[in-house]
Amino acid sequence: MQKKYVYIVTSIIVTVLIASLIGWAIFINKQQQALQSETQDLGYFGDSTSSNSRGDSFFGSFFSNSTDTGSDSSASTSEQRPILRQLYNLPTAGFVKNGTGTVRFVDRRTGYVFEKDLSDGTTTRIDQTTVPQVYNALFLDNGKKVVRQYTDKDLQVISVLSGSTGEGESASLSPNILEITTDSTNQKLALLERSSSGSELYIYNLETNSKDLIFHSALRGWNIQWEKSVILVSQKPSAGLPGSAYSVAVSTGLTSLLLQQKNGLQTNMSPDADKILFSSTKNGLPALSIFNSTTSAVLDLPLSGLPEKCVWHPEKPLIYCAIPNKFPEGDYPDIWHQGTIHFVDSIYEINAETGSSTMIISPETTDGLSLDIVKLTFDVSTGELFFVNKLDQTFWSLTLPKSTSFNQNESSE
Amino acid sequence: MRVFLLSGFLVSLSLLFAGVVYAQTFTPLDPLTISLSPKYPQPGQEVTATVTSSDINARSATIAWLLNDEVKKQEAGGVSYTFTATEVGSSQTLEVLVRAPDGNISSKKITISPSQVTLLWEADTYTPPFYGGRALYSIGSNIRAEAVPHIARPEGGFYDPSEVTYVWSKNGVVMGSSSGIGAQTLITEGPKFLGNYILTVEVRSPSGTQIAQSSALVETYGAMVKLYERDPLAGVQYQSTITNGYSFNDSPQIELQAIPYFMDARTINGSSLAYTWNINGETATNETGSPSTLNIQLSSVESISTQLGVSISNNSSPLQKTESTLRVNFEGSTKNSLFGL
Repeated sequence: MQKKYVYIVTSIIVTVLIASLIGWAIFINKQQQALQSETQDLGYFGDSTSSNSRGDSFFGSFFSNSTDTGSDSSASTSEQRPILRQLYNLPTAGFVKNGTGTVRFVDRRTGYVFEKDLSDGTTTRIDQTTVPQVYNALFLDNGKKVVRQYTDKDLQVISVLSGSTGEGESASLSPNILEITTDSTNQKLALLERSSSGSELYIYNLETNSKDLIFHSALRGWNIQWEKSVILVSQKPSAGLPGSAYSVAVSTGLTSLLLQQKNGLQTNMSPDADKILFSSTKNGLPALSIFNSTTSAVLDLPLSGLPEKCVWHPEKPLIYCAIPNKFPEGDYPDIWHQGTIHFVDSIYEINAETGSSTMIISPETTDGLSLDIVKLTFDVSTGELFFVNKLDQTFWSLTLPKSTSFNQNESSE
Repeated sequence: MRVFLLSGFLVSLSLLFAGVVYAQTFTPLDPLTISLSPKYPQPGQEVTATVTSSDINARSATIAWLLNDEVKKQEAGGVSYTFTATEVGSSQTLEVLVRAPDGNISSKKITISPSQVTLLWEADTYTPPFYGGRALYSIGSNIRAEAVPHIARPEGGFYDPSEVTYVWSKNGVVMGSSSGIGAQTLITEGPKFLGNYILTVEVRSPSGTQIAQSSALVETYGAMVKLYERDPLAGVQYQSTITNGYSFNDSPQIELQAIPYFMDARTINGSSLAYTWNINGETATNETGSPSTLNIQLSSVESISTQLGVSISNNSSPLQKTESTLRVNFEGSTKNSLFGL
């Protein structure tokens, strides 16, 4: 009887021990899975298995999952409603959408380059070259190269061109760069450089690290935008001052006056270089219009906004704009550029031929989100907008709903 | 019926004028003058032509206007006619026929070849890197200006900017030493004593027959300093100025960056700019090696409200000075004093 009792007690103890071991194993496995998922998601660690420093460094407080808002991800819902996603919850210096369903972006604090797979949400760090305080990053050559721009203690801009995966040699670009942009295929660079007599616009050859002068001016305050075979040079805006814009032919340097002496002028040229979305100060607000360079006709839009918060559809006469819900009193765009005020934007689709517009989403209304949108880009293959929220520099995407002209036209063709 | 009679009268008058144009010999001393407003029409601009006469009371005469030999207007006392100037590279002929009450007819014909010049200007003042706006003028700074002419050659094509003559003026006073052939750019002092002036450039073709003019009002805006938080990793937080009531959270050490918008300086920490920081009215020493920044070591368990100030003066331009004083809040930290480093 006593022997039987010993067997029973022993069996119970063994069973409890086995159950505990199994439970412990499951717990540990879940912990590892969670850690791996997080490190993959934000990619701060080159080798996800080599570190578990979550919470013990400055990165700790930044770990949170990417945020999808506005709808769930089911196909039926996504057809009806725009899907807003936070792709990266830390300051982002620049990004590019690759043709492969991924985005590459540069972390502003570290200069690291990450690649995020948009289908499964995983994020991988592909370059761990540390470059703190990257204010602006520009990708080239299908994301294979990147220009990081940071400053020294005197706020002088330093621009370095390198491979975005860390391989290859880096090249320091001129310390006199005032503005930098790429052509529409991201294959070439245009550099506006400070000179002793004003400024000079160069086309930079990535292969030879040489550059060709195509334009010079006594002025230095130019914005530049490269579309097709022309570069739009437009005076930097101020509310009460007239501005003018020229096109500069890349091959010949021939300049043509497009818009002249418009107060607060800011511009955004269409991909075919035929139309210019511009704003000019009317009744104290930046009123949007479209200038047709072929006919010289101007189409006034019933919206106030800034062209730098807009992007053209690459193939159709459509424009997507982040339109401020309201304008606090002040001089625009000056006080916004100086960071004195922020906007809370809604996203609109504008028909560039008729001037009609449709609001796609108001993140403030639908999700309680304050988005002050900059660096807006559009990926025609997926109907996604990508942008940075100026308020905190985080990186977002918006998938357009079926109801937009983009998708309606797509389906009808 | 009245319309018919009026039309008949006008047709008759135009036929009469048509006959006169080819039959009459005009007096050598041309009694008519056509003046244009604006004086130098730009392409596409609305232009008003006005006829005056030294020996005819034009207002009591019947006047016909012909643009490119086509009658455009014909009425008694019609001394003015408004039309749209053509594009650069083409020309228009404008002719006026004046039939005085005594039956004498005079005429005047001019050719209008619009030329264009765009006057661009900006202040040569400081703005931070990546700033998207224009540099504005503050007292004591310079102005950079450039004239972009668009004047057609008679034989086709356009004059190179280096071939034409530029006459620069401030409030109508010609700047002779800055003007001349090819003087396309100008660097000059801005207005003094918070004032303004009108900067004008007149551009003439080599023959002097084609003239274009453009003007700009140059106003004083004034320098200003704005404060930003400077994150040790993310850098200057240009997207948000520090304003009254701003709260600093969590960090025991804070770095502030002063940006001297529109001051006459090439670099932010150049020797021409002198920064004076103060905390609660007392001068704060700065040992960062960057006079435009201030490090603050926060050390109070409790939240505190503090007055922060910075003033910036320009050693090379004594009238150029700006300051900012703000009351800001520091949320609690773990140490026990507040001082600049």
